Amino acid sequence: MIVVDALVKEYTGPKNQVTRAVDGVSFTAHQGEVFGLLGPNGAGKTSVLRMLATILQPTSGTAIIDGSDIRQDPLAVRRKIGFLTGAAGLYDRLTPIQNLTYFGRLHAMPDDLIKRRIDSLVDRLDIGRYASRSCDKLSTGEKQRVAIARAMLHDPRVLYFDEPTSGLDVLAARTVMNFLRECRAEGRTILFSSHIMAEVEALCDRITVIHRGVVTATGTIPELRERTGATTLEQLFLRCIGEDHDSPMNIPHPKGIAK
Amino acid sequence: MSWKVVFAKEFTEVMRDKRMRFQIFISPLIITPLILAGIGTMAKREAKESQAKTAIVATVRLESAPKLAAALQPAAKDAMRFVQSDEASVESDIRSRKIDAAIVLPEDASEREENEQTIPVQVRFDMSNEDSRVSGSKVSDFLKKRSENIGAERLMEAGFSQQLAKPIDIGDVPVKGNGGRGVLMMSMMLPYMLVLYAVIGGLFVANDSVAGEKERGTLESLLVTPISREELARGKFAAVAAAALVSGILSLAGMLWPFYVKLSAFSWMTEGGAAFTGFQIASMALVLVPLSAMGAGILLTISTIARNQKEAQTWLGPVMMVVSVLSMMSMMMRPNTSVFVAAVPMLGPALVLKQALQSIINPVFIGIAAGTSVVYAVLAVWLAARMFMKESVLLRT
Repeated sequence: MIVVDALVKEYTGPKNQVTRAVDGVSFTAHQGEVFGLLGPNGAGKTSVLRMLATILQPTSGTAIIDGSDIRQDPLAVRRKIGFLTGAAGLYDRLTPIQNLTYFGRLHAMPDDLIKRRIDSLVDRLDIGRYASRSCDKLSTGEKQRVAIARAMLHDPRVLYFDEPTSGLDVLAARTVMNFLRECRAEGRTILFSSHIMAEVEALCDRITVIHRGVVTATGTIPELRERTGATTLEQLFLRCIGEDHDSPMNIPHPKGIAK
Repeated sequence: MSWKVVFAKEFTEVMRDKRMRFQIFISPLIITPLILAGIGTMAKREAKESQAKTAIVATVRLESAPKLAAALQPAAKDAMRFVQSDEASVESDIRSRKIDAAIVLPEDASEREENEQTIPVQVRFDMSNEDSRVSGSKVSDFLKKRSENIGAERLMEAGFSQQLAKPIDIGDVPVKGNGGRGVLMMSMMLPYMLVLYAVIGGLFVANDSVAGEKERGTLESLLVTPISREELARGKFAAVAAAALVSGILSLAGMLWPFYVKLSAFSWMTEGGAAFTGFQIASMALVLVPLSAMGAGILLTISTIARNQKEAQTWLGPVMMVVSVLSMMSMMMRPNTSVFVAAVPMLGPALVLKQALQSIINPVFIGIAAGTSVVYAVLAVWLAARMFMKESVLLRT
């Protein structure tokens, strides 16, 4: 379960100018739920995900990830989460097995457990054919499978997917989406950020829309459709960020920021 | 102890990268000695050819001193060929390389010779031209010898012993035991090379380990693992410092092995032998430890601040210039210079290396150089760790 409470992130620029990228974001993602994080570019989604992954320190507010506070015990949070983005982020000179072993050791897993988990994931994700080849010789889809195995190696209860199909071909994207469904079936909590409305509609149990650092709407897709009167998810999204220019059903920005 | 996991992974990557293997292992151990052998062999051949060449020497008013001319012509044999010239054109002929050097006698040379007075003779040559410089020196030596002989002959004619003209007979006897010309060359080159390798040996590893991770998008994956940033920074620092230290120690080995493997290519520097004690070699290796740590700290700081490897390389340019200049200064300085110099980063340790090679032990100098090097290393490591903790720096892309 993920409980996000009034999360704020400010960045200080080179001339000491302060930019508030995330402004009091709150939401709750329940166990076994795929929770969608939507927003245009620069809305603050990546900052939220990075704070929830303890890569960034919040300016104020906090979040509880499966019982651990991101501010008080970031290392415990990291033990519970898996992170997957569109970029595989593998070490090209190492083989998939070496990459996975490295991350297993960083998670302080015993070597025999690492081996068992790798064997199981290699089998499940069909990595065996190229498991001992350098990663720089793998295709994008093959790399993404290895990245999935890395995210799952320590059997995390919570998974963050930050635009995981961005830049992937249809086959590689389908692998990611199938994997995401399997994770939900296993009862893991999933935070899913994407620009692709079809993916969001197909997978997310609930969504929250972030615009200019602020949550403008949260709920199930049918609930939000009813609230905005939108017929498509794209229309729903535009109304949630106040950009559907011809509609009186646009949701006003909570901070009163004009579009 | 997660830093050991990071260290082990970084080193595995180093061993898999041809470029890094070359820089850390092959270049200091093989390429540098081969370059030295090439330079030495070429310089030796050039010097030999220059000595063997018949110098074309213009003479001005030599005919007005017939006794001197008669003494010079046959004695010069194949070493010099004299051509008559005039004072107005010798300098331009030397500059345009028509002649190598010139002997210019004064206008009253004839009168002076007749009266057995000293004849002031000018030997003109071009310092910027190696052939002219060697020819000028050859002509000077030749004239000095002739002058001594003429003086001795005059004394004999006057009924005196010719030894009156040569009260001292000088003989050079180089002392054995401290090695030959090679050790002198080593004491100039080695400190420079060692400091350079100890600092830049970790360059590729440092660039790859943070700026490279940012560029490839692997840093984010790393930061979501349950390893603290302190441990991560420690592991990366250890990998860069180890690469620099290995590179420095191999460059020491690379400069020493030619003395023990008798190859003709190295004869110019090894012919006098070398007498390095185990203590000297161990001291030199020990000096490399704080140097490698300091270099690793600086390189890791730059790699952490940079957005990508290209930016890191741009910033490394001026840093490497400073490192090169400081270590190069050791080539020109006396090893036992002021103790204050010992505190200058890079230069102090380079001079300690120079002292070790010349069997000089100056405990105060060594103490200051070692102490300040450790302080600089600690500062560099602290700076790198601080940069690693700053999310605005670490996540700059």
